Amino acid sequence: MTLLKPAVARALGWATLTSLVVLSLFGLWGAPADDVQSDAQRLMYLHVPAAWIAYLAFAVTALASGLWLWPRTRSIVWDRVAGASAELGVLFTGITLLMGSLWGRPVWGVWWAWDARLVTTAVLFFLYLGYLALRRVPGNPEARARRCAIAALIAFVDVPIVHFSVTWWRTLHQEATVFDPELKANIHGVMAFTLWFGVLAFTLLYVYLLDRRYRLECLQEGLEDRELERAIEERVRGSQPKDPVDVAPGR
Amino acid sequence: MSLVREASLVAGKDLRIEARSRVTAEQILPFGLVVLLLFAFALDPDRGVLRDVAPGLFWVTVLLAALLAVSRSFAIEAANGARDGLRLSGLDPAAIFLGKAAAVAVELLALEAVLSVGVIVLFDVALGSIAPIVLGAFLATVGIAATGTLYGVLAASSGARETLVPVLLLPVVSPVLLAATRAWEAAIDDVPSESWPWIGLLAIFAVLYTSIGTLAFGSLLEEA
Amino acid sequence: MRYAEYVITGWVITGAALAVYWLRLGRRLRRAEKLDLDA
Repeated sequence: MTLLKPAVARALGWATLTSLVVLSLFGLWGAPADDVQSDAQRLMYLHVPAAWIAYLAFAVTALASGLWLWPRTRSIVWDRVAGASAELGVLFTGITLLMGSLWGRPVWGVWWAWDARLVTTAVLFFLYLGYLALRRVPGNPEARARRCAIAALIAFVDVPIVHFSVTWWRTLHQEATVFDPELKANIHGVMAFTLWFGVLAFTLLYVYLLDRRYRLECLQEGLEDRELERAIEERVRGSQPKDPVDVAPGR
Repeated sequence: MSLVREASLVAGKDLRIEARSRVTAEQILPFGLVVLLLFAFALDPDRGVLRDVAPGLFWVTVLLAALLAVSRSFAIEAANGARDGLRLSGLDPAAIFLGKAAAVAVELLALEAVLSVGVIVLFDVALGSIAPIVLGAFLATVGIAATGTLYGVLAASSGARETLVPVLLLPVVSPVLLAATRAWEAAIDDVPSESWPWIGLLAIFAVLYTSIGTLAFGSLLEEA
Repeated sequence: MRYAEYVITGWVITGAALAVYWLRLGRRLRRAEKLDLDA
């Protein structure tokens, strides 16, 4: 029913919250402003960790999908993990794109640039948004798991192709030199620490959310049917004369 | 029966259906031409932009038409329990995949031939080196057809959710759009040496997704 | 802070997105658990 034992999950929740607070302190105040980017650097403490965790989440989705497809390791656990992780991946990819855009405006002067990494991230976003749409299509659990697993692997295989082709395309246009990658050599000291701490904090957050989302996925099978039964039940009860003994407390 | 023979059977069936119903010729082709027309409205021929962006517009149009072609490829299986017929026929699912993808590819290539004439005429494009144009188109089409057929069966198996195919297919084939357009641009500018790397990418994509489709189609067809 | 409007907006958006997701998740979990018990 859960990936982690409840006590562990709770402890993880607190550790996550604490680390996010610490990250905020360092990111917004403790770390110095960058020489070149000035305070816009502070957005990198969110953008970079979010990007790493997004990649991690999609890798987990791909791995879980593969494990489901492989007959010897097939288990509904993997299907649920794949779905849960993909949702988190899309969430973190969205954050990555937004933070990248907010960073780009003051530093590059534009909200968006057709640089390889941004474009690849945008395609990644849509690839897995489509996957999430596919997950929502009803059907028998095994069929759904199979087509989602195959879709996830198709998407995952596509990512390096997209990355390679877009990178090549943009270097041909020689704009890569104008838009330097965010992490130029000057990351050191407190800034480096904050960045790595951010990755740690987001990793904890990812595991914590994955566990919760997984639990929801477990409970949700058949949920729609039960909700329908319940709604009908309530409607029926509402149209009957109320017997004081009948009305259960808390309903 | 060999794989090639079985695939030809399936491809032949699909193409014969097309020959009789003429959906691609009478519905999808006009759609493609209309899209080209719309691009002219949107991009104003007098500004001289059209000729420069013609390859890109062409391939976007082809992708949109491919969505229809793939949808059609599975729509013909929906009637009269044809899908069950396919499953029970004893044909190797890999052959069914290859056959259906081949039929879609043939239809798209025919479409592209007409659309290219349209682009040359309407957007005033001159062809430079022919070889990369033809080879690039062929490989891109194989890649699009294979991936489209794969997603087609995937969507068909979830109860005919046709609106799902575009959002699934288009991001995945975006590198094909990228590579095909760049290859054609270089060919039109008569710099074929710049085309070949992109054509290499198209070849890799085509091989990769044809292989994935061949492997995955069987299990997806079962669930349809 | 220079570019404060971008930096603060970014951190607020991220915080809000994560908080909303976490809260929504919590709400859906509670509802699912209740229905699970009722079943």
